Amino acid sequence: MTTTAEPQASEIVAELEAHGLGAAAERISYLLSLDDDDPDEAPIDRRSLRALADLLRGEPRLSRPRIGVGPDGLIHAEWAVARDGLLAMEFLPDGIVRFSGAFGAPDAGGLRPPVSGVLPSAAALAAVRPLVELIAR
Amino acid sequence: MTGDPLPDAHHIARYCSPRMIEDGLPTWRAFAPNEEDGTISVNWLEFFAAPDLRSAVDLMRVTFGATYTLRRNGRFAVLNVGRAKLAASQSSPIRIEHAPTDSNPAHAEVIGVPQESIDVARALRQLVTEQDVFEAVAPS
Repeated sequence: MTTTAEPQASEIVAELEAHGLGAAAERISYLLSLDDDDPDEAPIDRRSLRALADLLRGEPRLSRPRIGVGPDGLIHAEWAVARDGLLAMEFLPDGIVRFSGAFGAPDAGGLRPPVSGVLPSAAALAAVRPLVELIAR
Repeated sequence: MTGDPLPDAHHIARYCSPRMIEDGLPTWRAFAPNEEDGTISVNWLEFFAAPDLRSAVDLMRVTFGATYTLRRNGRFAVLNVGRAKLAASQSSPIRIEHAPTDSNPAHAEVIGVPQESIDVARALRQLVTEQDVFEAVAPS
């Protein structure tokens, strides 16, 4: 039987800093500090955090996300796309990413339909590539 | 009354926990449905018959805060009902209905949000600007 060690949050934060992702590292450190604040919310899932860190390290255009944690402890992120659009992702512990992205304001009408799905990380990134190209670095 | 649709011109407020607030704005996850019943719990601001939205938020804090622990770094995000329905309709038609509870007569629900997709949560988040966000705990 093989087991995968639970990633350590401090190691992930240090890794992000070492890759020049200081803002993300700082935000995650802050979110970790809130882990014990609310007994009704689960602490940050370390595998979900690992998945976010891997994505940020692999795609420079995604290096400045807004990051949050859901009540279930899963990490999520979002990026502004062009002027009014948004790309949203949630990182499941098994390497799957739930995503949704759209150009333009959602109540303006006449817009292209959103790009969305639930896919392994690499496939999710491929699916949202046109949106990623519009994220300012 | 339970099940009554809220008028398009009215407003709802969603509590966003501190872990879903960055730089004063909520992240998209704040608008995801509850896992238990698939609805998004909100507060109907016009229920309070206040002269303006800010006053309604003040009254809502008292009602909602009586049974729910509001965190100092939490926020309320206010959405117009009609704009929220229009934004969500790109992905899924939603309904926004009055769903009063014993402790919160202003409680309402966003209904019809598919749980497998985050399109609606993302669309609702896109509507929120700094002007739509209020502190969960009144500034002293």
